Amino acid sequence: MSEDKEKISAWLDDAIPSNELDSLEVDHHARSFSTVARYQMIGDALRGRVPDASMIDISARVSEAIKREAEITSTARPAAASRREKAPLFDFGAWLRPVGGLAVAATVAMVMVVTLTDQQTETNSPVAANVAQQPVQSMPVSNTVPAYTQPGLAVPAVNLNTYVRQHSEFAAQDTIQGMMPYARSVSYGSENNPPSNKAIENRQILIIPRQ
Amino acid sequence: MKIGAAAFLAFAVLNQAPAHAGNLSDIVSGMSAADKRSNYEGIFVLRKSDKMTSMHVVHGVDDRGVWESMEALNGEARRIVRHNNEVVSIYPDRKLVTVSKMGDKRGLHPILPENLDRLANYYTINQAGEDRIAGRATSVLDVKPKDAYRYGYRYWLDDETRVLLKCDLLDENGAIVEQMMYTAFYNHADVPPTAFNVPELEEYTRKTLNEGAARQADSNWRPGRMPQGFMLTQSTERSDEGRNTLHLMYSDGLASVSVFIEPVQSSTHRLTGASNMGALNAYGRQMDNMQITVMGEVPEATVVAIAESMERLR
Repeated sequence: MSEDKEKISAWLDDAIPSNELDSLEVDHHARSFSTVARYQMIGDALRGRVPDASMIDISARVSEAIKREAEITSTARPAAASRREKAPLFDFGAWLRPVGGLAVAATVAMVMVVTLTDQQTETNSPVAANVAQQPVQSMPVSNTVPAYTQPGLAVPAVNLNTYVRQHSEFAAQDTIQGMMPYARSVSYGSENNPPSNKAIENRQILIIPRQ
Repeated sequence: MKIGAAAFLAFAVLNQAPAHAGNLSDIVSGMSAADKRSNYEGIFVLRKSDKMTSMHVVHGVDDRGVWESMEALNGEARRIVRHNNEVVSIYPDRKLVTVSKMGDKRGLHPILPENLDRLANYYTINQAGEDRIAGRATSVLDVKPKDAYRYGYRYWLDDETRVLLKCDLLDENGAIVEQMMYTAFYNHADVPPTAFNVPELEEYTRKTLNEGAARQADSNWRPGRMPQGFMLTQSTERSDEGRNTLHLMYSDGLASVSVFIEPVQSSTHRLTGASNMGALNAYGRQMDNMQITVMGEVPEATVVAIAESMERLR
């Protein structure tokens, strides 16, 4: 995982071509996405590519960035030390560590710049204020999103038909597209893996033939 | 001040419409209202990735609400008859008829046209000329997202009824990920009530399963990060054989994202990582012995970001 982080970081800094990322062992359970997102943010800040967008809860972001960078440095060191013994030719970890402190500063700087360039986007509309929920940190309006997946990842087959049906039926109520969600729901039955009888029967009410 | 800015932005966007094609606001509002006032029948094709489905649809409105029949014309025989929030699914080959009752669950937020001005914050809406679909004159709307966390849309709306006759769903690169288009469309003054008959109901016996009805639920789960404009529209809980599943629905008015949360040990939906079916992206992970599955007709980045940021308030 530590090597993965270093590769991601090097790629974001244009130090390695993107196809080298194919060797990444992406951990889908947890950290890969947040790692890439964090490194993307740091890399963008270092290169001055700061998105013109608004962010929410800036103080929380600053403290979170500092906390996360502390975690990165503390967890990366043992792995890097271990790797040095096996691969003395080139040590990405040794290259990365001095950047850590700078990255924290750069992240903070980026957040400050974003604050200054905040020109847009109303997020707390009167309608939104009616929702009884905790405030949610909105993601910035940006046309770039971090890369987080690798092609060819093996995803086990999971029957999501019940979820898809419930999603489609609720979506039809909350969007303006009328029958489109229902049409999608019907069309899912023509996929290669049509819903099983068991999946169909897992509905609120089932009507079965008379004996 | 912010409300004023948003209103001005919406006003500026909406006034880009050429006068001859009607007011853009009216067109979009008409699209939203067409579902509740139109009687029509037609055949359309739905293309997702490399798969195509053809359907016969009948849509009608009477004093009891909205009726709709949708019958797939290829693949396994199946038909959906919808009456307001009740959906009857018929699988003739399996001799199965199922009924899904959504109950009277109004969304937590009004949809269009009441909330039309919100769309201008997250999409750029322009008229893109006129076209002819299923032999009828249409106005084309181009709806481009302002960020990479939602898809774009291109709508062809019937000039007479404002019914959606063609729809392209565009990914973050502008590539079409889903297409719907009518090949035949007939506007009716009235739709015969027999169009919505379900003869199978006469022959089959109804049995109620244990799955509990969805009920409104307060949740202590929330996404730590959410693309701007998506608001919680539904929060329901469903009990099935002792297993509780929480369903949170977020929408920006066009796109919808569902978050399903249930105990890992009893979950039959243990998705780990990303998956997709056409325009629908899904991402699953486990956290605190709970299975979290996020899905929606949005880019993969969106479902991943939401799933990875889900947290439980203590």
